[in-house]
Amino acid sequence: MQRKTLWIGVAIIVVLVVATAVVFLTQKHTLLGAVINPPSHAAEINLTDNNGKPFALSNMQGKVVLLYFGYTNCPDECPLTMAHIKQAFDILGDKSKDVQVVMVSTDPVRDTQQALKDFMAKFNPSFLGLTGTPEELQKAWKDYGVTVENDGETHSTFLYVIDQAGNIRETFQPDTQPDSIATDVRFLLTGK
Amino acid sequence: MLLKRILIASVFGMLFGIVVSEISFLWLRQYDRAPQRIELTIPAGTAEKIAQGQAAPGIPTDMGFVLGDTLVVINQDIVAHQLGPLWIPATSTASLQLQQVGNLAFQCSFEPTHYFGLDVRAALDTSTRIIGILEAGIPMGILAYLYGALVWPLKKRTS
Repeated sequence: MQRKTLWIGVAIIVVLVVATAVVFLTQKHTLLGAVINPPSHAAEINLTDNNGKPFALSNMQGKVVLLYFGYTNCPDECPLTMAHIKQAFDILGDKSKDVQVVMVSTDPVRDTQQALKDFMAKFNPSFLGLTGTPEELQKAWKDYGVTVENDGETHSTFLYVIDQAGNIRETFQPDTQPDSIATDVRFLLTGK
Repeated sequence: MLLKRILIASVFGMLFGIVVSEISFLWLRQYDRAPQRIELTIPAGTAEKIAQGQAAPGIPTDMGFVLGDTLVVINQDIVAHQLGPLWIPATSTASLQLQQVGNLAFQCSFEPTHYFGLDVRAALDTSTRIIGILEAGIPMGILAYLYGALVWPLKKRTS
């Protein structure tokens, strides 16, 4: 009798564990930022990167792109955001090779190619800083609803998350924790 | 006699706590609910109206939310708009679950003042009301007892 009770108890525990695992594994992931539905096609960005090469956002299809607008002399929001992204990269590990981080300058006067390269290299050498002519930059700012004032020192601080198909899926704020960014990027890398 | 005084002071304190807490509850009743999905629609032509200095129809200048609410902004305009932490592309929708309590003024592209008030509070529930009653009632009961002890001191029994 005691052995029978024991086996019933073990069976109940096994069923509960399996049921929990099934629920957990089939749970639909909810993006953690400000979700855009339906996803909005990311406007093309044609600028010059910090290596002097032409950059086109459409060439990044197949990768998840984290797009930010900032400037290298920023004392707070920009380095904070870049630091969080860098930590997210560390969390992602090998998967980070399918992610491209891009920062479009809001201060083209001071953000030379070298200044952008030095700034981005502090976080990760693969991160790209983009600049261009005032007309090219203003188009990019306008397409992404970025407010730029006071020679670029006052600017919107959204981090745009663009999936592998080139659609904006969500935006994050600068204080978003790295693990939240990494979790959503990992989900988007599955192609869902 | 001492126990009687403590009992009277406690009852008085609790009654006071109930009155104060329940009046506050009636005042804050809008937060007495479970988290919900709250939709805000930006009508077509809003950007044009804002550029002309007019207010967009049907959009409040500030809103109150409960922690856990999901704010959904539907943009029917042909340009992107911003509401604080939400950037909403043209003819699209953005949603965000509000997970932090606070009363903030956010930058907003569809108000003439360019600011939008967002008040996020913890939901009021039964436990909140009970805590409110105790936090008001216990100190008032102690004060009532002390006041009574000063004004009507206990007389020593003479044998």
